[in-house]
Amino acid sequence: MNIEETINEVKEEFQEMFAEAHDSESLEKLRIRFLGKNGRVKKLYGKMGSIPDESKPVLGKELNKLKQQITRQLEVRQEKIEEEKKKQQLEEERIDVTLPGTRIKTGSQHPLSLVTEELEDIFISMGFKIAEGPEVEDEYYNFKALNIPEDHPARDLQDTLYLDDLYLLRTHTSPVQVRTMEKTKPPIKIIAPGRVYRADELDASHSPVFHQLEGLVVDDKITFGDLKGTISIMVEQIFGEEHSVRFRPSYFPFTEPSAEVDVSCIVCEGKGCSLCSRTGWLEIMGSGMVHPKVLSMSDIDPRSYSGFAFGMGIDRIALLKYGIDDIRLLQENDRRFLQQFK
Amino acid sequence: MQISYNWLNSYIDIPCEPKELKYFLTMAGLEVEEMFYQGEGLDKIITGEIIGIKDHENADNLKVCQVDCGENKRQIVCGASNIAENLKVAVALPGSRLPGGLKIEETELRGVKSSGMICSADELGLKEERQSGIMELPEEVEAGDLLVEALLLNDYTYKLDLTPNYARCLGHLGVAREVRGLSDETLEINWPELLPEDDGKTFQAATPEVEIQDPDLCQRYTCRLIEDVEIKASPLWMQRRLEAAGIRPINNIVDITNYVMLEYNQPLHAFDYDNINGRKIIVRRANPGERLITLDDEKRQLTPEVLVIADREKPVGLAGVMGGANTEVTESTGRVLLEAASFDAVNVRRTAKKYGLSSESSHRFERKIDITAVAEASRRACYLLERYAGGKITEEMVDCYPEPCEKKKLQLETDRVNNFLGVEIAGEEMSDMLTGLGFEADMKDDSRIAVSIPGFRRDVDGEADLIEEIARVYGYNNIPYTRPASAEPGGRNPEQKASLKINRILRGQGLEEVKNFSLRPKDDNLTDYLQDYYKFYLAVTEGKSRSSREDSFESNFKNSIVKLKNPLSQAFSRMRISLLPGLIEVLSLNSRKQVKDMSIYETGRVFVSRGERNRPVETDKIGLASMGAAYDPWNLSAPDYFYLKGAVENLLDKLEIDSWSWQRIKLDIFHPGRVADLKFKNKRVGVLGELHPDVIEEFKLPARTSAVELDKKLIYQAAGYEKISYQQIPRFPSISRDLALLISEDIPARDVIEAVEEAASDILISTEIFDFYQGEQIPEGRKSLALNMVFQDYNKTLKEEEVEKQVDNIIEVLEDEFQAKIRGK
Repeated sequence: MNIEETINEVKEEFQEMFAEAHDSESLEKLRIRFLGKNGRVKKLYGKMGSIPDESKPVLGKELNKLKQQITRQLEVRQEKIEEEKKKQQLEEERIDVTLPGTRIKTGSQHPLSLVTEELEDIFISMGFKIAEGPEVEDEYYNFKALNIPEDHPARDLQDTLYLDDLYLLRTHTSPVQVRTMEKTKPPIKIIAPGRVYRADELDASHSPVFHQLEGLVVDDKITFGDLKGTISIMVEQIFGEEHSVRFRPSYFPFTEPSAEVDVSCIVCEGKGCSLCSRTGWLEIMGSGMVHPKVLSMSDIDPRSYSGFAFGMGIDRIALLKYGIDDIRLLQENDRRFLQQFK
Repeated sequence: MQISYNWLNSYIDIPCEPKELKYFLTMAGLEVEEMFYQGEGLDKIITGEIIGIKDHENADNLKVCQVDCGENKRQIVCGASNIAENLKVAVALPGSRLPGGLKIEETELRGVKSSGMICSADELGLKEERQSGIMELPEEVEAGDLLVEALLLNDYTYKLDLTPNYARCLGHLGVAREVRGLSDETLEINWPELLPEDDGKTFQAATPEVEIQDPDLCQRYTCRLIEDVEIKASPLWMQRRLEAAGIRPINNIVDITNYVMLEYNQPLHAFDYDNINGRKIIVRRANPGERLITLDDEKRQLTPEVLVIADREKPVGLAGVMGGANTEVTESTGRVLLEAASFDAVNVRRTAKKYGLSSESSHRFERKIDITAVAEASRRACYLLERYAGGKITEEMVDCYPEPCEKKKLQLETDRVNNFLGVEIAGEEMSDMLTGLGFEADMKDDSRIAVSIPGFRRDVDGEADLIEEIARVYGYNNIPYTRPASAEPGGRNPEQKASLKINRILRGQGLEEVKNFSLRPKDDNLTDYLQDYYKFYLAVTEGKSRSSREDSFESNFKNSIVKLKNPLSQAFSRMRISLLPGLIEVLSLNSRKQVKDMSIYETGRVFVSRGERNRPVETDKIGLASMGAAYDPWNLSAPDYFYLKGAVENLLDKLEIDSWSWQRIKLDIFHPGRVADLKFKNKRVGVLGELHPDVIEEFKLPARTSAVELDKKLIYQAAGYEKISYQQIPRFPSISRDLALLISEDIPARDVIEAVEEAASDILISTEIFDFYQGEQIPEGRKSLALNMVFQDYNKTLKEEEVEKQVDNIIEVLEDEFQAKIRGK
């Protein structure tokens, strides 16, 4: 038998068997059969000794070629199979990509602190600092130093909760104005958010416990125009620029001139609806130029300094801003309510 | 205060329509709370005269009326019992609607045609209560006229919400002055007609002598005798105007006093002079034990703080508040004594408060009336009494006015006005503005105006008040918008920043923020649970050791709760002493609404009393509470406890608080075996625990609900996050070792970690417990803990041997100290 023929036989045999081999296992069998220690190719190499020398280079080359070809073919197919397998595996790992994600609880912020923080940031951007004061006050800070004398009809504007004949629960955040003026020399530019108390029955629009944000600016040459400018920026920021603001003469014992601030109704935009009692305007805060007596009582000379002050109900702003129709929701803490504020 | 458009228009040509007046007044500072048309819904109702009445053929209680309606006659079926021939009535014609919405149609009633309806006052909305018959109109009404014209209902009413400084506007003339001042200072005011000055009147022969015993409480007292009065209804126009102002007409005398009050803002009172004893009026403080029945039929016990009007033997009125029943004007009254006076604002206010008796009169005196116009108002009333009550006035008025009031004078610097408002108004213009409002303004030179304050402006006290007047006339909304300069940057102080950070961290842990009232009920089961918690609390706030104060605690607990002196209801009558009760209630509320799991936090203030007339201690707290947490890390049925513990530990960690520790304690509100005290070094900062099963049951909470309360200030003071400085990331690898040990179940995990950390050198950089087990395969009374330790040398690569040496040392210490058995060794 001619070795040349045998090479061809092996080649043919391999090709026949290779055509049938489609998995890793059969490929491995082929590898052992042809390239193994006792494999067909190895055996052909063994026969190389018995052929004439002149044929050796040619046949040797042939044989090497055969070995390379088999190796390569096996390798290529093996790779292909592996690729297929991987592909199949990935295919099998298909998931329903629309199933819900894993959500870590994220908590929520109470609407009152949400609005308070927003208001604070607005005023901070205009150069205000934040002042604080006690919730239990005495007559002096809550009334007298704010030019609200005893037995004055102005006392009727607020029903006070008393602890005893000396102490009371502050009815407004205005005492913080006095406390600030007592310990700070002008220029003063502060806001004071905080909790206040009134002897009011709890219903949809009244609460014995609520929150105010007070503002105070004292410096030389502070004008009523400055008051208007500052407040209008706050209103624009909190309710949106499309809302207009108006100032209306009013009365607070600690400011003169005093102004009530109205914003165009957020529901009807001035046309008149039930929210604004058909006036088209919503009252949102009281304001005014600090009364000279109040400055004097805190040892600030009203001939050299002037100032403005304002105060708003944070609860009311929250109700208006979020369209909440019952103030009791703010202290009920129903989760279905809380979770609406992120 | 309510005003009428027509009434106001009788004094000044109102420069705007009724609807615009509402806006005008509001922008002038006289806030219109409500405006309504008096003839609302009555525009189609006409007047008619019944000219014939026949029985109804099919119904005994109905009559068939022929009604003259001016242009034509109509047949109307009516069931009222007070119908009569020649009676003037209100008729709703077919096609019209009643104010209540009822549509009137041509109809047949029991087979008889009826074209219209004869109305009762309540059907027309003119009376609240149901009337027994149809409305009877005055005889002088012309059949066929519109009802609103016949009854003078074609008028608008404005309900004013007046602030205390607008006392002058408690009378129509005051409002007229405002309208002039704020629209056109050249408008004329038509002043009302008065009784001429007293020429020709004789000296007081029958008029009483007046003695003011307390001139500080009554600065002026006038009275005038009016004889031969005839008590009857006042004229329709006066009744209408009173009704428009919200005052019920009574009789001509009372109506006239009210009418003049509503013109001049001067309360007046009419006594039945025949019941005044001894021709003398004494204005004095009441004697102890005196009594007076006031016009509202209430018996008032008088005391010397109360100022009364008295005759020689008895009080006849509470000065400035209400008259006495003993001198009330009745149908038989023939002589009236008309009082016009000025009483002290504070005294009137106190008397009105004392008796819970706020009257139209006290309301005005409290806000100060125009003392200079007292006599004028009296003369106005006299004019009306002569005209509409047949009164004869032959004697002079007594005017007891010991110290006539001098007009206050102020100097206004125009520069200061302009600088204060941020405007540029010329002095002349300012002067005109003030004149329009009724001030006497005199330009001294270009920069100064001398202003004399009229008696009706007792609210004006200084420069700022005049500046407000100029701002009002100029228009608040015409003042330009400017902004104050900022010398310093704004911002939060470090503590305020920390507050925000704390809130953010807690929300990041999945906690929802809540807000509870700081007022609590009188009967408060939850606060009762806090008896011993409160001892703990005091230790936190006062930094005193627990035992030194222990004895006094029990008795003091109730006293330490801040109580309100005048609560509106028992539900809000105490201040909270802790955030825990509120938090527990929030979880309870939500649990009852089918919420299974919820974690919440609150930051807020709590209060502890230090005894009456002492300022209570206010402390800011952070409270956390959780129910229904799912993950139970140590299989101890304590998911909420460990969830909250993790949240607090994360908080401490994020705030860079260095050394803190938890220690087992006992407190009534918590489960006795599941509560720990958080300490920074030796300072108590707060408490964490599972709620006591009794609390859980009482508030229908899920089992294992837990809560935390921390002192915010102490947390803030210990925080070091603001001083973060970067430490280099280690360049050499670390080595990790695990260790499993069996120890007695009584040894706290914290002690094990502390022992490990003490036993190792500082190459041990972290020790963590990653497994805890008790049960099968573990001997009774012991537990298995698995620790992970990480070793790191920042200067070189660690050798295995070095770590082994450390671990051996740790094992030795654990074996010695805790008789630990190392598993797998």
